[in-house]
Amino acid sequence: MSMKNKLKRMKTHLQEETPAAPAPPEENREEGSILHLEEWKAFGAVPKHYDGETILKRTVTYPLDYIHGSASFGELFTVFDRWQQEPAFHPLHPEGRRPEDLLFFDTETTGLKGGTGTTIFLLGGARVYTDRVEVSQYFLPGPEHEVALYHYFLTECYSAENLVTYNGKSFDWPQVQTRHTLVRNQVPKLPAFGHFDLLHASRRLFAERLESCRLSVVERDILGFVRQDDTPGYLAPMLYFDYVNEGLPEFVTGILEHNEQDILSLITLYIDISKRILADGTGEKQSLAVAKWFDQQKEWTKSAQHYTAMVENGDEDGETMHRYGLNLKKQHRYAEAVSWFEKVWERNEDSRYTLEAGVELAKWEEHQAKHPERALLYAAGVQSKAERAGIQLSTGKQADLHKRLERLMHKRGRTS
Amino acid sequence: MKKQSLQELMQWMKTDPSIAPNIEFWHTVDERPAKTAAYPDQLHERLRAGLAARGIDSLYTHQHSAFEEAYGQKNNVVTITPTASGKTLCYNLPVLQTIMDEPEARALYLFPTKALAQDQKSEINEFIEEIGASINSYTYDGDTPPTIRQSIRRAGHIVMTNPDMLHSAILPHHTKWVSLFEHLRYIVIDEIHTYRGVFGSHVANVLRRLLRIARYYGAEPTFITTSATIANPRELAETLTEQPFTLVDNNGAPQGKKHFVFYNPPVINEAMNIRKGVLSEVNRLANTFLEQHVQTIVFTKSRVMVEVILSHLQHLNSRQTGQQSLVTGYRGGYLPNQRRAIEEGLRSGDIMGVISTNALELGVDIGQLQVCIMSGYPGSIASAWQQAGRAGRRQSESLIVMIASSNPIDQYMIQHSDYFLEKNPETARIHPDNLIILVDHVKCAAFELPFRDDDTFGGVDVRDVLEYLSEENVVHHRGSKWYWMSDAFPAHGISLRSASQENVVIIDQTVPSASKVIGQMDRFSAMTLLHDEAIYIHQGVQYQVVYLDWDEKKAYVEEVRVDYYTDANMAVELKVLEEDKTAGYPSYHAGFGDVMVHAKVTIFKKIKLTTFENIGSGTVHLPEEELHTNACWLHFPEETVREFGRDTLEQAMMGLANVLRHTAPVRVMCDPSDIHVVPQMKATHSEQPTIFLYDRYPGGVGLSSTIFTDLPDVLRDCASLIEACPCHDGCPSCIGSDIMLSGNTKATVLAFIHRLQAEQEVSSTGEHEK
Repeated sequence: MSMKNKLKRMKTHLQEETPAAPAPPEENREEGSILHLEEWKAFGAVPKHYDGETILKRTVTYPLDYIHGSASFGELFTVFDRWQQEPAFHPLHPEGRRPEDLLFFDTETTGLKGGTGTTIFLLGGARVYTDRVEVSQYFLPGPEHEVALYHYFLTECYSAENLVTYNGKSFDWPQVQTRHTLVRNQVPKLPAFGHFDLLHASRRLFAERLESCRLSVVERDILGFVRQDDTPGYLAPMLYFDYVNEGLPEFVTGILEHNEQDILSLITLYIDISKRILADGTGEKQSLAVAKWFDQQKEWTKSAQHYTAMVENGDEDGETMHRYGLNLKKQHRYAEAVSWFEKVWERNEDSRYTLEAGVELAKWEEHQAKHPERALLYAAGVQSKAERAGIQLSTGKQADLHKRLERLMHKRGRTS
Repeated sequence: MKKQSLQELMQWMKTDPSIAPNIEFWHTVDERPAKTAAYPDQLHERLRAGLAARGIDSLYTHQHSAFEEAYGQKNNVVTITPTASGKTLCYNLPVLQTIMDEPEARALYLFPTKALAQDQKSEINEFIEEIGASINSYTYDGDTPPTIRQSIRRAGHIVMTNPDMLHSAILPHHTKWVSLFEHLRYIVIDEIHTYRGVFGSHVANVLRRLLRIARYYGAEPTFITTSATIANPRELAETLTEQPFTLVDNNGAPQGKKHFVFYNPPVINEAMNIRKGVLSEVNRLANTFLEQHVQTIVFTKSRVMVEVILSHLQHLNSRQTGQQSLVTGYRGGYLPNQRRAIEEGLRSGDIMGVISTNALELGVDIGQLQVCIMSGYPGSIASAWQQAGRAGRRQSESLIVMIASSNPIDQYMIQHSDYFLEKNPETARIHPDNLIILVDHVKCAAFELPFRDDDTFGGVDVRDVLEYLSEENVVHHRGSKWYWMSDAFPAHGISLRSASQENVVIIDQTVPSASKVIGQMDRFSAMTLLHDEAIYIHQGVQYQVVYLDWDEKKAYVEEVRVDYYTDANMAVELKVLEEDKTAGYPSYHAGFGDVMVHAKVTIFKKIKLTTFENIGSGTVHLPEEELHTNACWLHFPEETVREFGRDTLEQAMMGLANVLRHTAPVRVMCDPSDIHVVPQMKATHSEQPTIFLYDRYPGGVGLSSTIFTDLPDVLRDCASLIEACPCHDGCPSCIGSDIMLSGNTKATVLAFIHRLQAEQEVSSTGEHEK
């Protein structure tokens, strides 16, 4: 029995991979040439040759006053001007960069599971220049053209150290590194990796109110942008395999358009999120997320602006007041901090923040005010409140509370 | 009361009237002094200092040879190393010195299990610290925290992992390991004798992928491997890696005095040659040693027996005060942290006794115990020596007791102690070109790097496989290369350890609100051990399977207390698809080829724990499993049937089949469950009486093909086993007990085998390939 016949008989024992396309009709294909070139040209794509390999490059230009979702692209310049006046540190702060330094970047791949065998077949990037937005897409017409793909991408987009992506830090960029490694001796080096990841930003600001933080959901619910006739991203591998087998551009033009829309949305989303962060405390609910983010950067005065705006706007949420208290404590404004902790404690809500405010008060009384009796009252109060309301402190804080209680009881025993 | 010493206990065994007569043979291996050699000239100053600080002022001869070969000559080395012979220095010295010469150099260590890698990491790191070298050595496995993975990939000089991790996590992501692959100087494979059968065949293919990637990055690593004593260590290493090897077998490690006792339980039924059960003898001896606090390990052949024996020794624990058990079980199916705790307890001496399957045969560090009891012959000589190695500290005496069951091969071994002590006839076989396994790994390899038209995979021309994969739309041919073209991650669907992809999870729901996972089992074993109503024993506790959810691969169990265990039977149907080789003789034909097996578990028996009598049965409703595999068969034409008479022939065939079940696995060195023997009076393909031997793995792993080739040896083993049996007219220890008709059945079977042998000798030229 030939090996191939045996294989057919043993098919039931063999693992099947996800079926891709039906068998390829080997139509008059010339190796290295692009089929249906006229259709590609009509779609804005031209072939580019390098060292016997060929890729397609598609360029699309938009005017700055083009409105995509909630903003026009030109607003990027306004947002940059405002960032330049902001001295506080923030992960999305462009620092000394100019708008055209940013490369809004997204890829399409043959699978989502990563690994060396997952190929990137489309690298798309957009830049915002002083007179236009230019989207450039580098498309791999077959697996044998990867040197050309990375050659053109890296030669033409060299300042790619300022990528703006959606989850690029853990998906797109590692995959670029993987595939680049395979051709690294034939193409330029990868630039140093610098990054604004808008997925993380969206999670911080919108996670609570969105069903998910997928880009399509953020587009629809935050940017107010609804796509027409979109090719869903999960179909990309199948369609690409069909294209590789049959060479018809229509299999993949939808993916290129989808990728283009993704990239444009990144521009609007960067503008939108920047505005939310730069607003000096809008007093709205999302300000809390912005404030927490600044807290995490240890930009205490910056986040305090947001807290102030919120409480002045009548926000009486326990979390807001408690965090404001913690913020003030970090700024060594103890008296003010204590007054906020007291407010939270007195409201006596069944919430974790009530307990944490109580703990802060106990600390204050024990170490700063030196009133161990009062400290004991707060600590015991926290303990009984936790039991009564069935709320738990984090394990670490719970252990601290126990120690504090023991210590304070001991102190009282000694003095009485 | 003063505890008795091992010496006193041995004296007791030699004199006690209920023990002494059962000792077939008492073999003493004298103390052996060390054979050493001075440090090799090339050995680095700091390594010398490090060794000297540990009181090692010379190397054992085998360590010396391994260093000269692997470091000096850059030859691939396979060393034969019994337990506790200082094998780690055989590979650590060349590797450490190479990294000190060249800080860029890297080494990859493969251990068959995660636990072994973790042991070795601690050991080498201690030594590295002592010599004050800046060498990073890490384990890389499922437990490695994601935060340090990146620095291991970039800066780990020595990466210790297992074949599964290499297969599914390292090779498919090789671009993240460039600094390892570019400078890969050594690949160390510990315990290569464990890489046989299906697992070995998979690992050989993983190594093909590893070498393919290493070469892509420009590295040509040297292999250093270690093996337990088997007949063909060099051949195995060469088949696994497809590289030439030098054998180092001049073991120079010292050894304390060892007593090897062959214990045959007394015959309780003369006519049937039935002996007292192994179990009660094991219990009695283990109990005696443990009560005197002599640290003892008991090896059993199955998971069930671990639990049965443990239940008999449980009373020792109840006398114990405190948390720590005195006696514990150890086997696959226990959760990893449970196992780690047991290993630690054995090392510290808190645990006195452990009842184990062959899971503890491998070099998991549990220190050295004083007594090893084997409940039955473990199935291979290599395995027996590995188990025996668990007893015996270097300086003191140790005792190994092998207790024979009525099982034919046990009886054969116990009466041929010379065969066991002097010869070493076992050969580890792998079959890397099993099509199913090969295709799996060609897929993984194509995912890792495209194939060129003129590439081979290892030595194999895989164009046919690639064409098949292209028709399946998994790879795509462009120009002169085959590219991966699928959104799948092939390594994730391929398990190296077993034929079945999914394990059955065992869930204890005795307390419905607190149900918990207590273990897992491969699908094939689950068919016979976890069917509805089966009694499953875990850590000495009996559970009954309430419901086996076959689709979801979950078995729900509840704790019970019953005095029986369950034993399920598998019914099989066989169809010959293709005859690849045949050999014709006057009264029979031998064949080898592809078969289709349909297996189904239909009934199970309930067997009383104390008397082993059958006290009931039940039905099992599980779907049929289909298996396309290789088989070897003997079939008997009409003339032979007429000559012997149908009934006589049937007796002879069943007798031969029974003996084959025991001798064939020994000959090809596999687990008895890896090869199945089925006699049929009317086989589907020939309508003639036929005995089939088939590989229990899809596509076959070379077992039945070896049996076809070695048929004369296999038949000789069968004949001498029957001749050696002291029974009068056949017994369960030779031809089996299911065929008791009138007349001298034993003589019939023997005459039958002699006939087959004689015809083979006459026409040894009759074989031809189709």
